[in-house]
Amino acid sequence: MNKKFILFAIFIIISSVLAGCKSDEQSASSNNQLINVSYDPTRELYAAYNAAFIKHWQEKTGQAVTITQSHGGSGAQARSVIEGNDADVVTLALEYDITAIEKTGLIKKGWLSSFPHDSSPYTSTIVFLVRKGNPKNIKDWNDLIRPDISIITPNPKTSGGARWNYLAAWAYANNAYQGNEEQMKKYMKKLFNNVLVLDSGARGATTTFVENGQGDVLLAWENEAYLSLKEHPDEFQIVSPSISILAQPSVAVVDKIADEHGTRELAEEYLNYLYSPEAQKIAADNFYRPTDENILKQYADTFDLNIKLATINDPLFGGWDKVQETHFKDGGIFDQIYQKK
Amino acid sequence: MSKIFSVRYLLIGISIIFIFIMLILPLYVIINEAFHNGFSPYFNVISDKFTLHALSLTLLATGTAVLCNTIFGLFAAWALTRFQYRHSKLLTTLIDIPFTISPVIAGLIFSLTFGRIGWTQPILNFFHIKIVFAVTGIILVTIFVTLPFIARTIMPVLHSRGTQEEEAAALMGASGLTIFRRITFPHIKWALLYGIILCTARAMGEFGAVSVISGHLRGKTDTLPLLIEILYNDFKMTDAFAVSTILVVLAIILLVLKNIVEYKWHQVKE
Amino acid sequence: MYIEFRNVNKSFGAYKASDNVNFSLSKGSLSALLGPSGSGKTTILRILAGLETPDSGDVFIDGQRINDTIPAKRGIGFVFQNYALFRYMTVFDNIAFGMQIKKFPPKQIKQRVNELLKLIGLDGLGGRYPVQLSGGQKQRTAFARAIAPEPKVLLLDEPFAAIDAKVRHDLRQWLKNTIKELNITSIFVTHDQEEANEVADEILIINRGKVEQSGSPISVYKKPATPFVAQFIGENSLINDYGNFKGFQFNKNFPAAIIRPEFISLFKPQEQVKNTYSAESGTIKAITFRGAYLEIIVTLNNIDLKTIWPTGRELLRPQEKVIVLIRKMYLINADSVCEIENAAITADNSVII
Repeated sequence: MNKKFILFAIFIIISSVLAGCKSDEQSASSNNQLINVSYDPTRELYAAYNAAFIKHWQEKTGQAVTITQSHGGSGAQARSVIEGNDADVVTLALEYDITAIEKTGLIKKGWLSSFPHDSSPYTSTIVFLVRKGNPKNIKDWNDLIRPDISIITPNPKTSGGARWNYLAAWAYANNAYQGNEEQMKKYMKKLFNNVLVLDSGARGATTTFVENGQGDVLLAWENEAYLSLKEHPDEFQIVSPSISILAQPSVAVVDKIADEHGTRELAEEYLNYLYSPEAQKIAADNFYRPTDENILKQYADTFDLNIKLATINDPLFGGWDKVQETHFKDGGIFDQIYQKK
Repeated sequence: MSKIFSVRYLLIGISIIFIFIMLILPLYVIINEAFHNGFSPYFNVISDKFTLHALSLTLLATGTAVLCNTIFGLFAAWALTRFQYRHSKLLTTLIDIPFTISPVIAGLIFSLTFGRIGWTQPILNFFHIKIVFAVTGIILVTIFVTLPFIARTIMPVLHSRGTQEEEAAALMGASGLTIFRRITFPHIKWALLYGIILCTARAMGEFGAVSVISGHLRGKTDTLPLLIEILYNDFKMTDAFAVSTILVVLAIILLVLKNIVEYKWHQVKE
Repeated sequence: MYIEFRNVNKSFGAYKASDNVNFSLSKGSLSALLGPSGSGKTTILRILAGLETPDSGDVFIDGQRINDTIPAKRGIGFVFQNYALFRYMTVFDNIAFGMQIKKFPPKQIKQRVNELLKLIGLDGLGGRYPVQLSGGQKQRTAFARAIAPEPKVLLLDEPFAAIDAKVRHDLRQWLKNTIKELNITSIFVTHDQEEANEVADEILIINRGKVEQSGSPISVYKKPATPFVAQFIGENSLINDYGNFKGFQFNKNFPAAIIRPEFISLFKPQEQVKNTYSAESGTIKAITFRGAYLEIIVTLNNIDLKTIWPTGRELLRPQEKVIVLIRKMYLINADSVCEIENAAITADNSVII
């Protein structure tokens, strides 16, 4: 009887593999299909971009392509690619997440310089989203540590977006306390003490603030903040802090998979075209800061160009690896300043 | 006397309030929100190609899971109640595992076993078989989390009946298949149907395990529950609720079927 | 011999259900396997049916060794203790089942089933389901189902155990007559002596996996071959100090004696007793009404004995003094039985001469 069980288990696996294979047949890896594994907030961006790109590719090569999108938390998406999600390209929130994929050999070393601006076709920054009329009169980072303020931000340990939030605050603190780490830590501690809800992802935090009406200020990606404004025009407004961080979401071709699928040419062009004027305008329309200076200037009334922007490679941070080591790993600075309530 | 009555009304009252809050209110909210923007947008969302694909994927996964688990359930229940195993208790416990572990863990197990970093990778690669982050994985994972339902529903029925009728039939020369068809099956018919309905309901609503290994490929590996989450995350609340109504309708159909089956089952028992 | 068991042994783990079982039954006989619970009688039946496999030994039906034949091909009809009727089939389908399996032509099946329905008195009730039948009707249906495919041997496992007392009596008679009429070799298992006595031609007494004795009901009763049979059959008094009774001497080879009720005669004090010298005086201890007779416990020399008294005679009362005459008794030891008579009676009679 035991034998029959084993036989049966095999039967199940085979039959469902066949069932799955059959429905995957249509989506079998052929070179006119592209899978783009991206992160949460870029849904609208890529919906628009993909339509433009498909037209562009059709005009250029006469080939009709289909693009399949996948969205989720940046770290989670990177993990899924490592575990078998067959992405031709990845367009994630952090260089760090793509490096994780590189470490498994799916992406060749040196990918960062494959595309302009360290493979960041668009950037964003961290701003404050507050209730309309700014009733709590929040102007800058120092207001956030007032006792009457409650903050909504995702958890830096689980959300890529949240790490930018944290680093932006750190950049401010560095400036405000002239690099006195003791005082900077005290500032961060007060900041996170004011956090009302620590969501696991950026979208979750936005939902908490926007839909559930909790908190006075949301630390958000600039583009997310603008999206919320679009959805709820009379309920919120954006406050740009004096200092913030340049968030550089990165893109890369997943070499191993693109070569397997035979989509290398398509994938490279897909990422290249992100830098074209048409695509840069689409990015700006979706509230991402285009890296093309000229186009950025055209959107001066959308984006506050006066924010002082630190970057991840500044001496203060020293790159993602150092940042991870110093701040976010177990026992790092974040763990030191934040105790769960 | 009056104390007993008031306790009775109190209990009934609490039950009604509970049901109202937990069931009726949410149902009302779903339907209300779904039609928030009117009928036309509602039907647009329902007939949108992503929605239809998600629906077909949900139905495919559910159907396959039900089929496989029916066969497995019959097999397992038969083996465990008809043969004396030293390890039958162990096997029964094993069957219960999908009940006890969180579906997310199930998804994780599949991902780590059949994924790119799993130990089955060389074999899968050789045969060009893709399991996780593909439809196959979703089907497998759905089978896994609904595994016990049918087996566990049939087993008590088979167990309580004893083997004498089957022995009598075997003595008279009936083959295994004949015994199953004419003697065993009529007895477990209603329990089987009941188990199938439970299995279907569970499979349709499965989220956690599928979410882990689906890869969220829009138009390919999104089931209805996953699609609803996506719409919700996109702040498309009305659309999310609209798609939810599909699940609600399916759930109601199942509920009605379940009640009919229960009723018939009780009739037969008498 | 139609059915033969030769040196059959069967153990379930440490429990020896069949211990060197040997017996043979002739064709057309109606035999009973009688014994206490757990004696192994059902095991013998199941081995014959093929539901159990013996550890060693041979089983024959009609001269053929059937150890390796599958149950379905042995030509056995089996009536289970709880009938085991197929509850999702009609009475008709139940009876027809065996023939359908054997692929008899439908017309023939229909004819035979109707015949059998008539035979068992359920004519016209073929469309009923088992749950709609009474105990007796179920039993008769199970019987019809077993004999429908014309088996060579009919086996019944405690067929009357689950039936009411009054119905049981009628059913026994009916079963005996019907089996005799059909002339099928039959064996039934029971723990009820009355049943075995009433129905069977031959009784096999089973104890602890062994066949203690086989023979006609009367021979088993009157001539018990082993101590167990002597004690098991009939209503007996078991006495250790049998030497205390007049006319009996204690024999150290036989530590105990069994006295059947009919070995004892009671007389009222004023009656004329033929063998006054061999009788003794005793006291009535208890009286139990059993219908046609009274069951009497009488104390004699501080020992309680069981005997009977016809209800028709002048009734006895507790504490009444009576004259007790023990005619004979069975002396038993571990492995043998010996019948002895009251020496005083013999002596008495010789004196009269």
